[in-house]
Amino acid sequence: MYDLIIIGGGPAGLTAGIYAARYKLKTVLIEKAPFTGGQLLKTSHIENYPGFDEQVLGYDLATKMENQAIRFGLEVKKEPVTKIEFSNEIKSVYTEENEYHAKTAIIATGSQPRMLGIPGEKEFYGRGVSYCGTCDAPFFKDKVVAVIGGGNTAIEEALYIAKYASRVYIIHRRDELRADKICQEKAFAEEKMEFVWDSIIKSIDFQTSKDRKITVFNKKTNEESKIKVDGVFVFIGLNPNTEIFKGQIDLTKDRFIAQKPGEQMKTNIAGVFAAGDVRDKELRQIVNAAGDGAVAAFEANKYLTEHNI
Amino acid sequence: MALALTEENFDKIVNSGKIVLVDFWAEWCMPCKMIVPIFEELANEMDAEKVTFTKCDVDSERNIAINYSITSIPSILFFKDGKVMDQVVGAVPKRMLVDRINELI
Repeated sequence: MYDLIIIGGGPAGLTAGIYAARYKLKTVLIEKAPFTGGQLLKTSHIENYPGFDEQVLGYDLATKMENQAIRFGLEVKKEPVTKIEFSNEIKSVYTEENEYHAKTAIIATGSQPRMLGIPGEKEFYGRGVSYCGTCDAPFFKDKVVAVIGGGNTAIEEALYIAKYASRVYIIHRRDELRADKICQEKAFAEEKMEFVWDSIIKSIDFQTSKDRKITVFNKKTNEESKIKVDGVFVFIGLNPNTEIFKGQIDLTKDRFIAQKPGEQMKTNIAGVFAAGDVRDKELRQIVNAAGDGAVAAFEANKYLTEHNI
Repeated sequence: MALALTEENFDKIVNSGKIVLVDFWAEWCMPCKMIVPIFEELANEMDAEKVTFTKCDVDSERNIAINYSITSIPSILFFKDGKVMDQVVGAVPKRMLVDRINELI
């Protein structure tokens, strides 16, 4: 029996692990991938995480976080969770091989890139369609690509992709970017970038290797056009990993974990907390995922003390 | 240990009659590092008479990657009798790879 089970090993889960281990809670963290780090691993260079005056690699930061947590005694398991049972006083988490029981739980399962849901997207995933610039940009050296989205992730990734590609179309449904100003300035200064405003992508046709194109619809002019590109990178937001919690944990209509204002990472179930990208909030960054993790571990510790269990 | 696949040994290996898994990777690809430990575990655990585990560096073996239209890594191709039978993209759980292999055996 554990004091605390943490599900998910991104920055939120790992930070919760560091704090819980230092509270001397008997804690296990369960991560579905063979590596912790979550979305950190898909980020190349991180510029806005405090304490690193030079850029830090996502992979390096993830490794440091895990080592730090393990140093304080966190137990880390790499198994996908298949089922949870949170309605009893003892919280149970099941993986394919094992089951874990604890007095409290922290959900830090994060989210993953949202898909476009258009023809050609699934078909050409891994063969021209990508959700990770860091992973795949070098395949598009001297090629033309389209980046879908206008937020920070989209623009940062587009700038990274532009180091390789000969031309980068930014296809955005509005007439201005949502990305922060410093990011925008860099993007507007990059000669390889071409902005396609007020437009949504309708389909991807990479059937033949020579004639690869996408169909784009301009919402203002109602005109449809084809753009020749070799690849499409999609950064249109996130989908939370909350499938296994459905029916037990209250979710928003977008399936993030519902939070009431002032409720410190609490869910609808006492003793179960949520931290990081998986919970309903506006800003999803590494730094506040880590912050969430600390608060969740603090609250779990408080719950254990107050309930004397 | 997963075998390094090159243009020289490619035909011989994928046509060996066994199921052949090819892990496409590159030095600069961080998520690729996630696949390595499970891939090595599987290479040790599974029957080497039936399944061969290989890795292909997309930088040094560019032509192989181009021939199979690889544009995302990590990507794992499953070959049988020289033909691509299955493909997974991204760092996936070990169990998923085992299930896909068992379907082909």
